[in-house]
Amino acid sequence: MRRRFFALGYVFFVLLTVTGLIMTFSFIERITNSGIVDVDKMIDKALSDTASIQADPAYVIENVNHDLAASLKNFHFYPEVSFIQKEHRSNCLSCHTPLPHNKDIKTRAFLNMHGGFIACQTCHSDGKKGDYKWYDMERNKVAEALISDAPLMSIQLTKMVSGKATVTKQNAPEFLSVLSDNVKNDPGKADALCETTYRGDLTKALSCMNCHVSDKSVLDWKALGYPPQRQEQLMTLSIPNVFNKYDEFYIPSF
Amino acid sequence: MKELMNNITVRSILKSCLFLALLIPFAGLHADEENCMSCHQYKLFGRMDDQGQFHNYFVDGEAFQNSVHGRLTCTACHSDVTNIPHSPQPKAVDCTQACHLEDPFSGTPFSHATVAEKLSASVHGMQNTASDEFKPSCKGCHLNPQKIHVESEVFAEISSNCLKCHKPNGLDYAIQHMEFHAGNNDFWTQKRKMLICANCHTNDELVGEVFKDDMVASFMDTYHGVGFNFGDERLPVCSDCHDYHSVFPATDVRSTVHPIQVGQTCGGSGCHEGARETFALGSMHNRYEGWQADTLKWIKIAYFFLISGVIGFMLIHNTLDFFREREKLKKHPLPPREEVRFFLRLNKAERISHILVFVSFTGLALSGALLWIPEINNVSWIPRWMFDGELRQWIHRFFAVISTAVSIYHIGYAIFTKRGRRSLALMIPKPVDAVNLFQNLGYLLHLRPEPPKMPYFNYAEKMEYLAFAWGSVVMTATGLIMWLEHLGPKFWVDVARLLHSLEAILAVLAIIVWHFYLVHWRPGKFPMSRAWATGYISEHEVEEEHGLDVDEFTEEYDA
Repeated sequence: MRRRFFALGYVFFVLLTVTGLIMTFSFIERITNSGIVDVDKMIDKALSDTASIQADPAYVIENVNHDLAASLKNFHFYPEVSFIQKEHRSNCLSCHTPLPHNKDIKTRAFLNMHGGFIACQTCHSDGKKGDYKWYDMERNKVAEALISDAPLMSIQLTKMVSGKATVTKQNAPEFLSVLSDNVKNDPGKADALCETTYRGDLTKALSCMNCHVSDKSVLDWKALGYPPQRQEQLMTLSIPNVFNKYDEFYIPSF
Repeated sequence: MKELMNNITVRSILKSCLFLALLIPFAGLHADEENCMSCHQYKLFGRMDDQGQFHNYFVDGEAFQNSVHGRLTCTACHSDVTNIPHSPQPKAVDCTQACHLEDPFSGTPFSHATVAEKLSASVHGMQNTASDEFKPSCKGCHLNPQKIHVESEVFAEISSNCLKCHKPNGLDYAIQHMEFHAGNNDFWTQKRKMLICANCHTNDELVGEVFKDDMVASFMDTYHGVGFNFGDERLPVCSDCHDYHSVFPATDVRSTVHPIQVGQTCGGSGCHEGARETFALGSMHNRYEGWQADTLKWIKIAYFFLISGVIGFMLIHNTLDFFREREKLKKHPLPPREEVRFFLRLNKAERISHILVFVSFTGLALSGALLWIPEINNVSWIPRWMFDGELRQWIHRFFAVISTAVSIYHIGYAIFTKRGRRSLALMIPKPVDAVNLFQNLGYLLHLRPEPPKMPYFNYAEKMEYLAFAWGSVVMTATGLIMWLEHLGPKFWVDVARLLHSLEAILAVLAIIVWHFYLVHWRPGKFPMSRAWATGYISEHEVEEEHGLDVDEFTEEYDA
């Protein structure tokens, strides 16, 4: 009984000592800082708690003039599109943005959209029928099957030349060895490098009709793993026809 | 055949029911009539302009359908979009335009114009000044939150009452919207609300240019700010006091924090019930000027020197004593306990008082110290309930009541009992104490061969007792002021809060450095003096520490 009684004394002794240490650190902090709280730290913490509305730490902050105010304008819930992981980026993104098409108002957004799952050189090639496969950017090898809910750019449709994928990962050693600021800043050298790397003709590119019209498609949708219903949809899309038939398409008023 | 038909019928009915059941969750959602999602459903559907600005046209349809605007078609807000491609570039959405929804109460087309008018009239309204570019629009703060389906008794009651007169169309939506903003939601958390304001009000480019100073930083130094850091959802952040849309400078009579209004703002909200107008006499952000700022500044300076000086002296004194005492014990080890006589130091009433004091003191220190270390709420091994603001507050007050009760008992004991009166008389500081202090310092510094003979209460104990008495008065008085803060004025509550926290540091450190040394750390005492439990000290301790008044120790321990 007496031992337990003394043990109680020890407990309070330790508790108060710990409290004293805490207070000492707090006192030192009060003396050294005007405020007791690091506001920036607090905001960072609050930001981490609202991760669902945050902008992308992986891509946007690194590459685009994108701040918190911009993320707050995010009225349509699209933060996840910015989450393009570094390991999924192809070597094209060493120089180009993931949304490189910006000239034609009719097609630019649609073409950029394809960048989420199609490698650049798949369309920017000689336009001939070829062997196309899904490429797993993370594992750096041909994917066994189409993965429908894969993260953006993680699985890319790539053209195969001599049994080898034309897409290579960003910062791949063979690419880095020839890529320099000198090359980046010289369009002629950059084009030559791209042609060598892609093994294709950069002046040519596939259009919507090359894939999404049934009798002319260079892609074998079935072989790529699409189910019959989706194959039919992809080869009869209305959007390419809208662009082909109309200069300006008016939305019906309801 | 008949059986087959029956089966088909039953199966068809079941399928129909299942189909209808699947439709129910989407009953309140609007279909994409314009087929906008045929294009906007794609991720990376967007472009990057020549300036590197990211234009993202992707719309998360499912999330949008479940948002507060999920009942609207795209063109209800983007009314200038009529063609594909959208040219000219669609304008920013004007939240004040009337949309196709009908206000269930007025029957008129719904719009946010009323709220926008409030915002426009407020300090955040555009006033053709340079600061306009920094002012928030609707979307600057509102994120089109996910719809939170509230199912509360209040909601059910309101719905049933409203439906007696109003059309059902859209009413449930309107009531849920009100319920959502009435606080029953987990979207507008205090952190998220704070983030909205802090986004601009902590911006380095704006503070000092557009704003007078960093008001978020000054808020963080208040009790509300500390509570916010603990994640206490009960404590207010900016918009709870300054309103959401009708924000005005505190000098404007329309402001909810104008001296005329602030009593109602603080008291009417249920936070500071009974708050009077005098409660407003102070700065909510602890930003004082003139004599008030000087008062707070001098308290801080005084306590800085007091804490540094007192604790510093104690540390030096005890460090010297530690080495001197250890040296002495090496030469003259303590005799075995069995061979030593013991004398009464604390009687039963004093021991119980001491136990109540150290329990309440530890409880007060711990529950109080939690306020000082908001970062500790990230420490996973500390139970979450310890950070609950209200629980912590009442634990602190519980121990404060015990501590105060013991103090009152002690005063009565010192006045009305013979032993108490004798102890009080012996506790009064005398010139001999100062002489003892200097003589003992001389001994500790090896300037004297022997320590001085000291009285029944030596100088160390008298210093401790008087400091504790002073601390009790300060802590009780300031604690009471904070407990009754709604009586105001706030300035004196802030003074009390500052004094209370600084005195707490002094008291806790003094106990650890001074008292704990005397009864725990001192060579020969470790791990602790048993007097607090048994009430007796050894003959050796009497001679060493109270050699001048050996005769006062008359009651011997009878094993």
